[in-house]
Amino acid sequence: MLRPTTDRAASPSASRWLVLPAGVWYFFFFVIPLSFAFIFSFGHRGAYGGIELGFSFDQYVRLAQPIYSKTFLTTLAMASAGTLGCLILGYPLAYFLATRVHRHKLLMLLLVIIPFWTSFLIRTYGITILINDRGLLNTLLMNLGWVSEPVRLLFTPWGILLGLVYNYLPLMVFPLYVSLERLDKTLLEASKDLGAGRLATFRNITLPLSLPGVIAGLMLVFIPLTGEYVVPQILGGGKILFMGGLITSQFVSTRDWAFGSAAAVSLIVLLLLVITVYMRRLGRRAEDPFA
Amino acid sequence: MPESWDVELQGVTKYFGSVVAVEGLTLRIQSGQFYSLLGPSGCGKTTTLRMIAGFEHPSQGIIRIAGQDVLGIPPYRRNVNMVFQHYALFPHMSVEENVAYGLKQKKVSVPEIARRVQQALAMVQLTGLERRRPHELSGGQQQRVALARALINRPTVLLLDEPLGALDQKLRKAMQLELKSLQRTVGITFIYVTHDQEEALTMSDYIAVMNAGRLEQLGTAIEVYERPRTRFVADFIGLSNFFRGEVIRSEGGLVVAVDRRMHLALPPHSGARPGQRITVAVRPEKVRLAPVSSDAPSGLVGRVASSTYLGEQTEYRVGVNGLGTIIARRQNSEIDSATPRLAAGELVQLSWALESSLILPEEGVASHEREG
Repeated sequence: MLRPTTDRAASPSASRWLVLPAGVWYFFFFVIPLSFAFIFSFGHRGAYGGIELGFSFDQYVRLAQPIYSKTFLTTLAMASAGTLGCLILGYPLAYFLATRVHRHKLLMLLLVIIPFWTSFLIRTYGITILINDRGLLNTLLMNLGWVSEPVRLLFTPWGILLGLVYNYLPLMVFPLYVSLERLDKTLLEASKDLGAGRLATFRNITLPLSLPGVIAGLMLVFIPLTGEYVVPQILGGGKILFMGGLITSQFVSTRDWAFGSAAAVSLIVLLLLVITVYMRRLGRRAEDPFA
Repeated sequence: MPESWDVELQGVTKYFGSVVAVEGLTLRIQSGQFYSLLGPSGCGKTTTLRMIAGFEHPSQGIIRIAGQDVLGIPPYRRNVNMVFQHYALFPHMSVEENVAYGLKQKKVSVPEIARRVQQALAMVQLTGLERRRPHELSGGQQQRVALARALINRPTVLLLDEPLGALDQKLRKAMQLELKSLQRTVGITFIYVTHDQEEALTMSDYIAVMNAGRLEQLGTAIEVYERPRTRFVADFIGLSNFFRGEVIRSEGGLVVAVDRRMHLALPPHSGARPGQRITVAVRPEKVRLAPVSSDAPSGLVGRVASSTYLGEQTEYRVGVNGLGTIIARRQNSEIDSATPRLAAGELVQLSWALESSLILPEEGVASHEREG
């Protein structure tokens, strides 16, 4: 669905070599490990951990148990909420950066990614200091007299959501920024010239033409969020399990590689399904700006 | 006000920071005119158009549209529409949706929109392309969509910002005539911005020649071409040979002393006074060339430095002592045995009718420096 905007004249045989380095990389570090996971998922846990290969659907049947399917649902719900949160916070920010900032544009963009310069783990632990019962946020709220008891955020779904949005926001802002930045500003003038006010211009022109950026942002945030396990671990206090956490624990602590593989493969299949459905719906509308 | 104007600009000045884009511009544009703003890039013509549309606000001065002061009225509430330089068609909408956009904003009823879209598309000969997207159209077709999209709103004034610039020569010529006849049909005032003097001459009822943010001359095509009032206009519209000198009295009347030896006669009633420094402009096509026949030629004599074949015409560059190079153009259709083609190196006699000498004031260089 993402067609290139320009056709560069190049001999196809020569340009074919350009995919070779990445192709080799993906084959060895993506296709092969993924094939392992796929094969493992039909096997059993060995007596001392590890894997006994076989061909049974036992692991997938196990995954259908309520306790695991609930983890699936939690993951999808939290990832969706986190993605939505990023979109709601990210779109206005990207819009502002792309249309209202004229000087120091680079600096502003730099500010958006500055959190990325710190380790993910440290940033997430940092949030616990902010949102625990005696943290900065609660102290402030109580001193202002807005609440009499501390607001419980840490070790709740809300705390996790906060951490997810905080950590993944830049991934949403950048594609949105790019699509809004390259939006031809004379189109907005044309819209106003034809009698559309600011709001109508945004709805009719800006929003539909930024859809490719929205889609890219949603993908970039939603996909890693489904695999997220650090944030729920730290900010959820281990009380809320994500698929990422489940899979990690199967490989690292329980050493049940077969079950972990089945969970990983299921997650991938589920993601493919979700993405296909939603690309079909959004993609149709976003196709034309690229044509 | 004895007359009513569709658009009136009064002492309009626009600064961008400390740069003056438009300075003290006063224009009155009558209803139903094809009015061109002509000038080189950076002369302020597009800024003027954008101020009328409402995208820029004048730093000083008043703009009235249909008698109403439009200060503070946003573009979407002005009854003017614009055809943008690169058309600015909405890429995610079909031709039909593009054209219907303005009426939709005005909440016109759906059947009425459908009817008027059909009408507008028929007017620009695009019937049958309703479902196409802009990128599936040729440049000329995109141009027509942009026209239909603007004209469907029945604006008081249609603003056109170099709309033919992106088309090839042949299509441009065809569109010029089409635009002109379209304007006559709809009777809407067109304000047309262009840097192409030929385009302006072909289409306009009235031309405002602009330079460095200021108005140089106002007039019909014939007036600005035949009677340029400044050296800039004489140079920008068509080609001219320029001779600077001082007016002195001689036996036959007033002449211009270009240098000590060379005197150019002035037409009667030129209005020039002895002692005045002026510039004389002569169009290349008014310069007559004749092979030197006698051994002692009189008048202006020069040597052909080069001849360039231009299709309909041949351009000669003739070196004249004391005057530099004079450019002359001759219609190729006039070449016959009596007036043969001239060759480089040939000695020729130059002459032109007295009334072909255009008298221009000697100008302060600073105020009229050409911009790039």
